[in-house]
Parts: sequence; C-alpha cells; structure tokens
Amino acid sequence: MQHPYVVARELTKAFDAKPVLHDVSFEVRPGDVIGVLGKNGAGKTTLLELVLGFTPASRGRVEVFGHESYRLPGAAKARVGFVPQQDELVNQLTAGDQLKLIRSFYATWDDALVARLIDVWDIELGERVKNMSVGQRQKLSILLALGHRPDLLILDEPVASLDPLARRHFLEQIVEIAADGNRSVVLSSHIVSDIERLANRIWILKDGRLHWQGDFDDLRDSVVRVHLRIAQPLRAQIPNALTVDLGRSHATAVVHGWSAELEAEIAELTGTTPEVEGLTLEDIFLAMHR
Amino acid sequence: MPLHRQLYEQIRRMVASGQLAPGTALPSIRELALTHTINPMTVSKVYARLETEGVLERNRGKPMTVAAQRRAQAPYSVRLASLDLPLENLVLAARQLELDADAVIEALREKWEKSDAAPIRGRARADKGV
Amino acid sequence: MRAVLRLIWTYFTATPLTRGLAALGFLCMACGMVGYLYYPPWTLGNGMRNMALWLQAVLTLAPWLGLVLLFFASSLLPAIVERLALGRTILVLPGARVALLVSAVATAALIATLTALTGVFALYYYPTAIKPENVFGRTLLVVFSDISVMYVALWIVGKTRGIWLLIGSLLIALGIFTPLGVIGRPSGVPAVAWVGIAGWLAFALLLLFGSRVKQTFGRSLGGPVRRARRALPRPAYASGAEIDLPLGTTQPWLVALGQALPIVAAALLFRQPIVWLLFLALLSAVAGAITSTAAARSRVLWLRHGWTRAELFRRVETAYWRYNGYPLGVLLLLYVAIGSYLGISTPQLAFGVPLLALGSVASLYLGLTITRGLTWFEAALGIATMGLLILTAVTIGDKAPSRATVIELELALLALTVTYRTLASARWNALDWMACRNGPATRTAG
Repeated sequence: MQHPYVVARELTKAFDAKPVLHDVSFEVRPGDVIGVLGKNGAGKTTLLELVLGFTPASRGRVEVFGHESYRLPGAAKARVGFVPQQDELVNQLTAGDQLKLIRSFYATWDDALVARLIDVWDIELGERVKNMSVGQRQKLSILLALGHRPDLLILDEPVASLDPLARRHFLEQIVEIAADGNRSVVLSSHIVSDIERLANRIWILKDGRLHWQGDFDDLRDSVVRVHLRIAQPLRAQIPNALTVDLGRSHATAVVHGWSAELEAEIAELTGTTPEVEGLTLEDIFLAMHR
Repeated sequence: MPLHRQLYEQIRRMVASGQLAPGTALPSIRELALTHTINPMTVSKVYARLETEGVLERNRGKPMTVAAQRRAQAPYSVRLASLDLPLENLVLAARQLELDADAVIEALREKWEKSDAAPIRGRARADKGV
Repeated sequence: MRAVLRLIWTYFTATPLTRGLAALGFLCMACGMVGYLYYPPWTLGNGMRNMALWLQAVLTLAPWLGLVLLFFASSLLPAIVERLALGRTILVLPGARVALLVSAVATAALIATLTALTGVFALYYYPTAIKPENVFGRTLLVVFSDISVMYVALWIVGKTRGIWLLIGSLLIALGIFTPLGVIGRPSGVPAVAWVGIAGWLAFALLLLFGSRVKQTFGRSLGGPVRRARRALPRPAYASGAEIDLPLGTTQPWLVALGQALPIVAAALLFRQPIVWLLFLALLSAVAGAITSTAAARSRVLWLRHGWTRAELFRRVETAYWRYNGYPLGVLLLLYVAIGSYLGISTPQLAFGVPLLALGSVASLYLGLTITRGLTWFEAALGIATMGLLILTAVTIGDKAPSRATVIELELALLALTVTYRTLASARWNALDWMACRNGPATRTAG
C-alpha cells in the first residue's frame, strides 16, 4: 500500500478566536476521488486551503506528500493542482499568454492534453481574460490546474458557472484522472450528483467538523431509508433515525448506522420486517442536515 | 436510485434478456466509467459483483465477457431476481398511494392478460412508423 | 422634476454616513452664514465685538468645513451616476437621462450656491481685489467647477481599494481647496471654470446623445480606435516575466510616464516650489499603493514555485524595487529639471532628492506590510508617514531651511523605512493567504 498523499491530524483552524474547523483528521490516498460536501460556511474552503498551505493551522498538522503543507517544498508543489473558487487569472493577458505563463512554472507539461481541452472547451487563445465570460474563465482556470498532470488535484467549487456540456467534459477529465489509479482528486461542490458520480470517498463537513468521512459504499450501506408497515401508532422512537415520516398505516425513516442488529431492533419495535431502500447521495446529505 | 445499482441492474437485465449474448465482450472499466462519467472504482465493483454471481467472466488480459453457461437462457431464479428493481418501485409507489397488496396484484394480473401479445404488436407499429 | 429631486436626495442620503455628513455640512453652512451676518469678524478691523477669538475662528471656518462635508456627503454621486448612465434601464425610463444630468449639475450647483452666499458675506469683510458685486458670481463659478472636477477625481479614486483609496481621499480633501485661492484674484474667467464647464458639456453630450454618437461615428471611428488600442502595449507572456505578470509589475515605464504628466501639470499650476515639492512628496507615496496588493497576488506564485515564504518575500521585494525604479527615476529627474527651472535653491534641491527617494521606498515597504487587508494600524502608519513627508517637504521649502532639522527628519524617514521592511519581512514569513483577502464576505465563505 502506497503512502497517503495527504495526512491531516486533529486540524483546528480559528479566525480571530472564531473556530471554523474543529479537530479534523483525514487522509487522501493515491487513487482517491474525494467529494467534500457541506453547507455554505461549513468550512470546506478553509479545509482545502489548509491542505494547500495557504494558511497555518491553529492546531494540528497537515502533511502533503510527506511535507508540512505550510512549508511545502517546490517538488511537492509541482505535484499539486488547484482550481480556486474565484479564478486568479491575470485580466490583461490573453488566454494563450496566461497558459504560457503558468506552463513556465512546471518542468513537465502535457501539451497534448491541453491542446485537446482547448479544442473541446472552445477556448479562444487570443481572447483577453478580461473579456471572457465567467464560464470561459472557469474552464481556463481548470485547464491551468490540469496541464502539469498533478498527482493531487484540489478543486474548490469548480463547476458553478460551466454549461452542461463543459461540465460533462470536466467530469470526464476527473474520471480520466481517477482511472489512472495513482492520482487523487479532492473536489468540493454543491452539485451533489457530480460528487455521486465521481467520488469513491466522501467527506461531509458540518459546522466545522467532519460529520462523516469514509468510503462512499460504506456511507450508502450505512444511511438507508426503511419502510415500515405499522398497525398501531409507534410506541417508541425509531432508533438511529435522521428523519421520520409517519403515515396512517406505514412509516418511512432515514436511519444511519444500518446493520443486521439495527434491522432486528426496528423489526421488534414495529412488529414488521422493514423494507430497505438505497438512497442517493443528495438524499443522504439532506437527511443529515434535517 | 444510486448509480452503481442502476448500472448493476442494467447489465443484469441486458444479460437476462439476451441483449448481451454469452461471450460478448464488455467495455473496459475505463471506457464504461467515461461513457457514464462515473468513478472507475464503481464500475469495477459492479463487475466484480456480477462476476461472483456468475453473470460475467473475467478473462486474463482481455475484456470481461458474459458468462458462457447462460447460452440457452438464464435460470428462472436469476431472471426473476432481475425484476427486483421494478417490483420494488411498484411496491413503493403502491405504499405511497396507500393501496393494499391484493388490489395491486389484481391490477397487475389484468395488465398481464391484456398485454399477452403486446410485444409483437408494439414491434409491428414501430416498423410501420419507420 | 420629481425624479431630479429624488436623485439629489439619494446622493445626499444614500448611506447613514452620507446622511450624517450632509446634516453636519448644512449645519456648518448655516452657522457660518449666521456668524458672518450677525457676528462679523471684526478682528481685521477695530475689534468692536466682545467675542472669544476661538469662537470667531470657528465661525469663520465653519462654511468652508461645510463645503468639504457637503462634498463628501454627496461623494456617492459619481458612482451612482455611472451605474445609472451605463446601465440599460436608463434607456427605458422616461426622461431619465435628462433627469440624471440635471440632478448631477444641480447638486454641484447647490453646494456652490451655498458656498457663494457665504463667500459674499466673508469677502465683504476682507480686502480683496475683486468688486463686491462680482464676488457671488465668481465664487459660484469657481466652486461649481472645482466641485465638478473633484467629482471626477472621486470617481477615479472610488474605483480603487486599500491604500489607493486613502491616498486619493486625502489628496481630494486637500485638492478641493487648491482652486479656491483663485476666487480672490481679479483676472477674468479662471481656468478651472473652463475645465468644469467643458467637462459638464462633454458629459451631457455623451449622456444624452451617446448612443447616437456611437451609431454615427462608431463605424468610421471604431476601426481606427480599435487599431490604436491594439497598438498600445499590453502585458504579454515572455520568459522572465513569471513573477511580474501575477504581481502586475510588467510595465513600470507606463506608470513612470503616467506620473510625469501630473508632475509637469503641477509645476505649471503651482509655481511656488514649496507647494510643488509637497505635491511630489505625496506622489512618491504611490509606490505603497502598488505594493499593497502584493500579498494577495502572490498566492499563485507560492503554489507554483518551490519558494518558501521568506524566499517569496525576497523575490517580490526585488520585483518591486525594479518596478519602482522607473517612476522614482522619472520623479527625481523631473524634480531636478523642473526644480532648477522654478528656482529651487541648491541645498533645497539636495535635500529634496533623498526626501523623494525615502518617501517612495518607505511607502513601498509600508504597502508590503499590508498582508491582512488594510486595518486601522496600517492606515494610521500611512497617515503618519504622509505627515512626516509633508513636514519634511515644508521644512525644506522654508526660505532658510534648518539643515539639522531636515537631516533629522530624513533620518526619521529612513528609520521608518527600515522598520517597515522588518515588519513586512516578518509578516511575509508567516503569510496567511486566507487573511489576505479583503472583506468579510470572502473570509467567512466556506
């Protein structure tokens, strides 16, 4: 087993004594595609920026490729790609010059990939960045993070302004990286269906804590919807329930920590065998925030 | 309906219905992941599960194929099992409408009898249309 | 008409701050006028009134303070007018363009009229070269034009952030009084009035007939204009510009040239060397405005280069030294050239050179200390530095400058510069890009 690319231990970040992240520990292993979910203000950007070494942790430590992220050496940075929430393109440059500029920072550059994406994404190289639409800028910004074929690609809300076609192309790029098996992606997005497609691991941030993290499969097995036929009103609360909908003759509940024992417990409580329904990531996320 | 489940059911149904004949090569994990833009690990898990269930066969260095012993037709139990999903949906819908099982089964039977020759008729119409 | 009144009302009451400023401004104006009417300043005459001197001073200065307050109370006018004039809504609102134009002119005229009324009272008691019956018209014209020009200045300054905004506002607060001295001179229509009237005419033409002008001349003019714009040098990627492009320091000579214009203009306008030196000293502080955004801009450099934060600081520092060299060079050259022409004495010339150099470098490092947005601390440092620059310039400009004092002041500036560099270096060693970004909106995001 390869060493994880990112290891964070008990990270805490506070701004002016106002904590934004509490005691967060996580790893990014080679080949992982990690989907970061959370409401606005849950701490997603802060978490990503701590990994990138933009800001020191108030407590705890985060290592990227074995180096403390705050003092990341050049060789490690060359393996990192980052797409910020708001692009940081130089307004006065043309798209082509912007590309050349970023390319000059790296020893290796995948010209074929970049040329293909320029073509597919309709990027006009002669156009000034200032005159480009938000979506075009976003595409260029993503392109700049892909050109050096980073081992660790970190994306903070990259698709908000992409049209459906461009978004599809973007998703394909992430699948390509994932298919490589040794490259990792950390993707924060509000488009839960994208994360559902791409991620094999999920981090759910809630109020600055990692409310849930782990394999997507485990999450899907753990949080399920159960349908119950009920003869008389329920005598007790459904254990582990995140949400409960009570009808006249049946009840539905989203429960977490699903297991044979829990099934038995619920069966005993209601007198019927619960029927289990798998949930989409969006349903899971919403249930966790109810 | 989670994506891996959709993919799993889709392949199973296509094999059960004969659309994917035994011996047919399946797309590689990467190809399938790209066409559906889903994580390759999801595809590989679906393939692995179908392999353990005997639906697919792994060939060293070559694409996966539909398992050979299903030449004539899949066993009755397998074909029935591939109805799981639509049945679940039906049950769920009936529950939400607060219908009882007997009424639903009766309605199903009626449909069943009406639709006896339907697939053939349907195909004839489609041909004329083209 | 209702729209015009509503617009004027909006200019003065858009925010609680402007509301407060407007109320204070009108109060000051009223107090000043009452003061001149009923308690005329006799101090220049026989001093018959039995009144405390400080109260007389307050009453005398009140209307002028009122002028500044009212001007800043309406400081949102340029921004509001721009937003409306450039929007599409104005094209579908009935009479909106005329209303917008009238409201803007009326606002400037209102402030000018109030000042002119005070001026009539004030100048009545002071010996001036102009006839009393001309005082009102002349004051009105000068103040109206002055305010109009300052609105344009405010509009430009309003587009900037951080230390630019601070410097710009200070310059405007000082600049608003500069043309007022013209009132008392007996010459014909003052230059500032022509500038003001021409400006309003141009604005009116653009606003009212902008779209038609564009249609008529757009095709014939568009081509050459576009070609001319394309001929202008734009930043482009070239090997070696990897640091400069993200920092925005690729075209130092453009800033140097841009600086030359106001210097020459100021030399023609303020023929007194002392005022001119003061102006140059303040201009040398522009370096700080440019470096104040360096921290936020450097993030992309850190992630894409193998440098530590300390190395990054040294690179950025070098880039800015090179960049700042051009404007500073032009500043010094013009200082020596125009200074000799204006008749600055040799010791004054000798003391002025280190003053300008130190002003430039000190503000360069002051700008670099801004790594966590502009806080009160940096703003106070900026004002203190400018105060020191002004003090030194005034001391040098003295007819018989005390050499010891000047040397002491310049040594103080040097010490300040070294302190800023130490502070900047320490701050960059612990640079936190999350804290760099201005504004609470981005800070709380995500």
